[in-house]
Amino acid sequence: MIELRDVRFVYPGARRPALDGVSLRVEPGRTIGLLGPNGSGKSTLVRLMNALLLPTDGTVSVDGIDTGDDASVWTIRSRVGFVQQNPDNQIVGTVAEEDVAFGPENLGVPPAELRVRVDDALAAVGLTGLERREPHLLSEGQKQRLAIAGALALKPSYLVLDEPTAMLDGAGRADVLAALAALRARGVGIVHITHHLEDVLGADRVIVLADGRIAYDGTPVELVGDPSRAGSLGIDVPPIVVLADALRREGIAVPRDAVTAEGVVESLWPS
Amino acid sequence: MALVARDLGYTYSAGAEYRIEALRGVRLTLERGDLLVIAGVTGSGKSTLLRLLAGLLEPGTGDVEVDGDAPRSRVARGRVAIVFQNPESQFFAETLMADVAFGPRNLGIDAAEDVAAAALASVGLDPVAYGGRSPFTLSGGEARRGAIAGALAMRAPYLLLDEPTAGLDDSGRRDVLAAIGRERATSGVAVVTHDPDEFLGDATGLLALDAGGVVFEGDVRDLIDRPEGYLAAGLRLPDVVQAQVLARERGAVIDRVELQPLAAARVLAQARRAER
Repeated sequence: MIELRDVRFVYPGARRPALDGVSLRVEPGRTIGLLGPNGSGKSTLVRLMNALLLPTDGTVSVDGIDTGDDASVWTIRSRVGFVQQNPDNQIVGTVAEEDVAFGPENLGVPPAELRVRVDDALAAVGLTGLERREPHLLSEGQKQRLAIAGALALKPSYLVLDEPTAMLDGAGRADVLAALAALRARGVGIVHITHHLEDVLGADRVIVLADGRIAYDGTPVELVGDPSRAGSLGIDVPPIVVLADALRREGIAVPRDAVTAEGVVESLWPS
Repeated sequence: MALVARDLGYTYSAGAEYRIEALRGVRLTLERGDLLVIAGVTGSGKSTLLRLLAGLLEPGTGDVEVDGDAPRSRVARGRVAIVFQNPESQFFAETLMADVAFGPRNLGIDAAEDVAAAALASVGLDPVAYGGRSPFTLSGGEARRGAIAGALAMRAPYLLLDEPTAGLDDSGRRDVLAAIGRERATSGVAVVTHDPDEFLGDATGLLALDAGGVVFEGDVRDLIDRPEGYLAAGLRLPDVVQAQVLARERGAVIDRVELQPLAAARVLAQARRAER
């Protein structure tokens, strides 16, 4: 488990804390969707989870190991995979498979296992067949998936992703979301930062940050079912939820968990 | 007076063994007041199309005209503004204000700093708070809005935007969508996107690309009657439209498909009542 206890973080020279009074737990096999406006502290929060940043006050631990423990920093980073917003900043290999192999190779994984790990990781993000492609010849979406494969090759217990779908098209986005769902089923704990509530409708929990504090902690269905609450948190409710809400006001019973086109139509014209 | 493309095509590494035909047979007309949505998945050729329209690439086939002139000609200078997918790659000045003011100053627009300040404000970046910042210290969302401000400040009659809302939070997205709406009073705007959902409600035209070829062109509402090419290209119908398409498949009588959720809810409720 990744556990944050009453965490406060102030950047050097900053007047206001980037995070204040944040407590939360990331459990294996569960997905947390992390939302909030630009500057609300989302990226700071995930950087605290793998010891890229250390809390000013409070504690962060990964499977019981305090992130402030210098001797354990590499253990922590191998357990908590991190995928950044911009894949260009974390791709190092000259071809795709080399990039994915970079992390485990550095940790001394033997060649035979390395091959398996690389192939599995590329398959998990739908890049099988592009092993020898040079990263700069990949599309933005493919590069983002390559970055995720690089993190997966380290066999992390947890994966934190900072807007992994921002640059992806519909198909690429669906591929990544499917890959994340499969990883969760395999017991990986996932923290998924996004600006789109749609991306995390399948998450176990949604946390919304505002000005460095947790402003909402609940299920995604509860949040979309309460458009005024979502609105006050600065989150746009997906248009289909607005539509469902309008139907309810017309006196048509639409279940609260109908958050897709299929779900809404099913309640009016059952198949 | 329009930005016109005829039979436009482009092949990367033409003549080489590894040539990639990125685009073929595109025709389009962008007039002031238009919002043209260019949709396609990654690799469909949409960014290549924008570069051709801006004169950053020389067409392999066909041609582009900006109000009757070639986009690279001296007289056409400043008529087309473009914002790339990676906005941070467009910055070069020491402060955001200097960066945004560069375009208008270079084009000889008076009071370039005032124009730049107005452009920053229109994308939701307070010119006082952000003007003095180094563009390289901005967050991804701020950088994207800053780059869009730089294009707005050029006051070009044609504005080309590559994924202008990617990576923005909801309030940033609303600011950018509102800025695009205002820009249409004086300019034609073309938006390249893999997720056309948020633009379709206001679009005057839709062009969908797949592997360099055109799979749909026309009015957004026509998509309802011939969505095959669009769907085969891996693009998603907006959920609100999808709901009406599904309802129709299940026997609901829907004559006119609506793009906005509230109007769509009225359509569905009416169809449901008509059955009773």
